[in-house]
Amino acid sequence: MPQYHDGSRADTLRQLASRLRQLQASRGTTAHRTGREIISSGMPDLDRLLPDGGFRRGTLVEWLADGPGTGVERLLLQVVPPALQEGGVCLVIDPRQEFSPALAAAMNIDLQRTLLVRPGRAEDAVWAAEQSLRCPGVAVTIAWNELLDRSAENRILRRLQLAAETGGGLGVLLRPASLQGQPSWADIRLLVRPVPPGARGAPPAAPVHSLHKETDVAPEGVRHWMELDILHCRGGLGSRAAFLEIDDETGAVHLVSELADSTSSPRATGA
Amino acid sequence: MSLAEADAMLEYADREHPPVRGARPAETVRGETRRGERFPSDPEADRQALRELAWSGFEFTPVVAIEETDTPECLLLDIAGCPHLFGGEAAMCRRVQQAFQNQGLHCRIAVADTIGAAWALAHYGRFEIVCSSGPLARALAPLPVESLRLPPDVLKKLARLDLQRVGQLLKLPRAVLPSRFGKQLLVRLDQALGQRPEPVTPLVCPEPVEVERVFAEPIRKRDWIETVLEELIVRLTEQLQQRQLVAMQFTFRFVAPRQPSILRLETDADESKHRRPPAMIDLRLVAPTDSASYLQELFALQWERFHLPGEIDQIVLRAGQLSSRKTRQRALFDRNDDGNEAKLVALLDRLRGRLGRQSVVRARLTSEWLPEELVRYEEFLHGLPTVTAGAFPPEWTARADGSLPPRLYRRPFPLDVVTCDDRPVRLRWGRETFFVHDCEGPQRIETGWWVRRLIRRDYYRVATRDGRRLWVFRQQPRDAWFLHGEG
Repeated sequence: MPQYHDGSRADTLRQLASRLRQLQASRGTTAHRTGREIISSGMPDLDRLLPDGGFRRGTLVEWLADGPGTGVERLLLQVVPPALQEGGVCLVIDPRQEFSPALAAAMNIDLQRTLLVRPGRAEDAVWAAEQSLRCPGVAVTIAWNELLDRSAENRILRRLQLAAETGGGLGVLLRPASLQGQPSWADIRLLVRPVPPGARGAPPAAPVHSLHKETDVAPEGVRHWMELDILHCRGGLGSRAAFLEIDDETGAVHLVSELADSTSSPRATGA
Repeated sequence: MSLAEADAMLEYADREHPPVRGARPAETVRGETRRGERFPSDPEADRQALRELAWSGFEFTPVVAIEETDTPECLLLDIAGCPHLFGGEAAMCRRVQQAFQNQGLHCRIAVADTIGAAWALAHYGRFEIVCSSGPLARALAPLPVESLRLPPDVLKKLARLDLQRVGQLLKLPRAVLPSRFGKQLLVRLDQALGQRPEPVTPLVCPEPVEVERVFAEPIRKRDWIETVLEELIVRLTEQLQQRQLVAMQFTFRFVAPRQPSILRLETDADESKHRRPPAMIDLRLVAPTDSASYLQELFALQWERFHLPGEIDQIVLRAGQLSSRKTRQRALFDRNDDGNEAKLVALLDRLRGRLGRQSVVRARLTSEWLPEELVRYEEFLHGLPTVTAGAFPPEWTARADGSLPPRLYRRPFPLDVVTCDDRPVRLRWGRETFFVHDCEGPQRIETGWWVRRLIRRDYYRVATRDGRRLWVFRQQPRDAWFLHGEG
């Protein structure tokens, strides 16, 4: 156990943070995982925050977001091009038929290898997700809508996790943020919150008069910000949060700043 | 099409529609990015594809043939005695066109008394569907001489003499035609006018493979029926294997018993009137099979949701869309190097079996402008290339628009909007109110009045004060606001 008696409080904190980073890094690199088992999230900045440097095949990744317009879909779709690099297809379960293939094509997602499944009932959607995750030919399964929006469905998540382990593909679930306190079988849980203009870490709010002038709004209109909170990550220690900037023109995601620690509720996991 | 023509077409497509940002280049030639890919010509594969396509024609007529040339590109359907079943020739043509459109193919159709005239009108007629009536000579007269399927050297001779239209040829004395232009011209002319026979070799539609079981007494117990069905599936697949066939369609027909004779009218001789319409399970697969265990698994998915309306006394199982086991099947996906094609096909069959064929689709971009029409969804069909044939595939003119929101609603939701200087400042959607912090637009999307009814929308990308991103539009001239997407 290292001793931290000789320095000031700030130094101690710095050393502890450094030690924590070393532990996280060592867990990520010494694990018995090959490069083929790790898929980049499609966002290098997010990969750096994850202990494995990406998402592990055969696991579930859960994105939590609240209400309309958070933009979480832009983030979760980033994983598809890297996931398809080694073959397989992407299967999107989209009961409400709201997935936009035109944007997917613009994000470099091969539509020839993207299947859309539109079940009419919730149980069919869960069944389709399980079947897809169980199939080795599906590289990534995205449950596009709030497929599992009730807290009592933890056992379904367990089934999906086992199916993902069997098939070896990646399962991406989009669920409401209200379930962040509920247990989950996902390996990685990510919470996305929209960042109000002028909030901590975000650029200042535009002056009110700019609302009515097209020339003034242009620079800010091409990018927006969101807060990403890694609630739980198997192999990682503690939760981490970061501000992300999304360029609307190019779709690129950049890390603006990493927050010291998460402001979210304590992590919850069923695993 | 020559390679030079293909290159010119690619360059034209590149110039008109520059490559999409971030798109993976399909091929790089001399340092330039091209959107198209080149494949060597394979006439035998083309002929095979046309033969597979010809099976669709049996839906309309029992006599279907392929054009008899070295490089066939036409299907010939002898529709004598059939049009009245579809509501006339024009209605039948529209049905045929729709059937091919459903497979992602664009086709031109002509109906005429002779094969030559139909070929000429399909290739050089003014419309996509031409139903010729009246004298053939009058219909053919305005068409170019190329419509007579003549060899290139004859066409050159005709061009030297400025003979451009069929009508000009018809005015010339018949006796001089063979000596000046060769026998072929007169043969083709006579074939087009119906004065000389033109034989074709129709394709033979394989007889359907069918097995049935008739019960001595009507039964209703599902366990018993299930056992019988398993046995029927095994018998059917054995027959398929004996005949070296595979099938893509399997129909299970559950025939209800006849009504007791005491309830029948003596004058009513038609057997079918005394039976309830048979209940059916129709399995249409993504890829052909002759495997009993595979069929039993797919059947079980349908059977658990199938409601048997009453007692039955006969079960008929029929295999359709047959093809030889030796026929090479095309891959469903363009990249198939991971060896999981069979597992994917099985997954698709299971999904389609339980959720319905329309619930498992693939998206294809179109060149439309309205966001909801920017994408066409198509079913998975085997036997078709992944990129469908045609002079201008829709992808060439389609655009992948990165400015669209990731979540696009099927039907826009009406909004209550407060505006200032024609720009939204407050949106109300149901019980939620969003205050606009920032707004980008308007981007006007308008349909042409000549295409359909006029649609004019001004789209705005809105950032709310709590950091959300919404995609709203103002419908003109009704001045109504709608939420169309988010994110």
